[in-house]
Amino acid sequence: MDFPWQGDTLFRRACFVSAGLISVLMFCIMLSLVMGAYPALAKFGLSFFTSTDWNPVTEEFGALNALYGTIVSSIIAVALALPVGLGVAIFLSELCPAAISKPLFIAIELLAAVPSIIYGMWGLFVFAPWFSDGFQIWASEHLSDVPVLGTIFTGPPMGVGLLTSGIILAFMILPILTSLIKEALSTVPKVLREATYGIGATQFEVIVKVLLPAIKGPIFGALILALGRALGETMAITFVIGGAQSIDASLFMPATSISASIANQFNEATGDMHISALIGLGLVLFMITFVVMGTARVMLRRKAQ
Amino acid sequence: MSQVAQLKDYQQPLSQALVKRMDIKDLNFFYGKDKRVLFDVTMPVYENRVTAMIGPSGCGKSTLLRCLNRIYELYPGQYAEGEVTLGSDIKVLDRRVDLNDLRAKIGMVFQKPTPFPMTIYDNIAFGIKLYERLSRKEMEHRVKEALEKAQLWDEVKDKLHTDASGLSGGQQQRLCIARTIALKPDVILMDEPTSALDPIATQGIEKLITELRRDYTIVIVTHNMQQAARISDYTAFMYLGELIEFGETEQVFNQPRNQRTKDYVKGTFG
Repeated sequence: MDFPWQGDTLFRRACFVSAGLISVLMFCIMLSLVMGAYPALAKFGLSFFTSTDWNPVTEEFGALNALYGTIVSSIIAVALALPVGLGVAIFLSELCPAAISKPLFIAIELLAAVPSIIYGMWGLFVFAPWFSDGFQIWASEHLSDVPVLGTIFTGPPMGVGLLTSGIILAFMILPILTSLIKEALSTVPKVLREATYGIGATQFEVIVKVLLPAIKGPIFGALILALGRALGETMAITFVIGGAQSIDASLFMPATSISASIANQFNEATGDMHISALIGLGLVLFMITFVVMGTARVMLRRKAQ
Repeated sequence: MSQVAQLKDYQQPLSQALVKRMDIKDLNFFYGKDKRVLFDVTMPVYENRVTAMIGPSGCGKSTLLRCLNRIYELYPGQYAEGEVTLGSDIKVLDRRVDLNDLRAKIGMVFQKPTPFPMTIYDNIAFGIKLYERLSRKEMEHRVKEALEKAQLWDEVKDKLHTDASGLSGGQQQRLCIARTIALKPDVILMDEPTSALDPIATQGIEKLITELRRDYTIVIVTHNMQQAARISDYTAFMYLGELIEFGETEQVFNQPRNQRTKDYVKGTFG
């Protein structure tokens, strides 16, 4: 108490150290990824990113299979979750009475609290068989002659695969998407709603033509955040993606993702090159997420102006 | 107080005879069952005149305005009782009235400018498209006409297809007026339309209002008494949910019949 300023200085330094720690941590992770991946990157060069070879026996490694699986499953997830998330958010904030809205919203938040391994288990044991019987068999029989759809929706009705992964991921990102869109809707000034109703617009016109365009920036931001979550999701995907190192036009075929490859193989990786290649995959994932988040920030800032 | 007349000099005398455009009878308003905020308000709204509603905060003047196009119905628990007639036969408070249709006939301009998140052109066209199918040419004509009437055309004609949020506050408010005019309403309700604007923009809007009353009937809520004196033909003074006095603006400001009106316009309370 002799030097009252000392408390302040101490506090400020403590905060500074905490903030600095984040940067150091970030740097260390980046560094260890690069160092770990170096042998593989040095050996395969750019072909590490473009090759579909993945052979631990001959020690030939390329990231393209996993990259493809990661990106395609995430895009499927976002494409499926967006319309549903929009619908739920609009229902919660615009259409239903507060008495229903609150419990429903809590239920959705709870969905976010379900551990991802539960989604994985549920996806594998419950959803996949149901999906196989209910959709895949039907699609293989009826859509095979349709161009494009015939290619995408054919293959063995195993239940697991790229499409299943996308659907499970969609369930998982639905809560964050919904609550972010709902949040954004609640920031729209009351008076803008009144003004739109005030020129005689119907509820549909108010929501679709004014409210949604008014929050298109935040919706985009929510989409990117959800995409970021989908890209990095590991446990659930590992269960339902099938774990096949291949790229196939059919979404029914088993595939792999970066996170699933790492989770499946890290324990059994014996050769140094195999481990290095897996770390290389991690580096690729890290960079994708980094770029996605960065793009989101830049675009959101541009939208806000 | 003779300056009231002086302020009104730039208005040209209106030739139309006095016709009731709206009629408000025994209007009561409730926020939920227990909170009554309007008490048996009865007053006319005359065609091609500006009617100002004045009174201290919470006196019910905005609430009264919000009854006229039933915008309060967006909020559960709020309801009105009484009779509001538009023209000769439209019962505004009647459940069977088509609300969208009613709100096309009775436009509203708010405290804060509320441009829609779209281009200047679309802000106007959006409302028109709700009711009419027009060819591109006709639509362009209507948009231009509305912007001209709102005295905004010259400022925006080169950037019609840019986002409306880029306009200044005063321009945005005139855009909102143009949007309302574009629907060719019978009545325009204005809820403190200049309270968010700077003095120059305020002057622009005031001048516009006095011009617009040639073609439209205007009801304006204002907390600014000088504004009411400058631009209105009729003034309603409200206090604690009751209509205390209604009359020609000059009379209400210069020879108020009621003591409370007198105190309020002289500035001794409020």
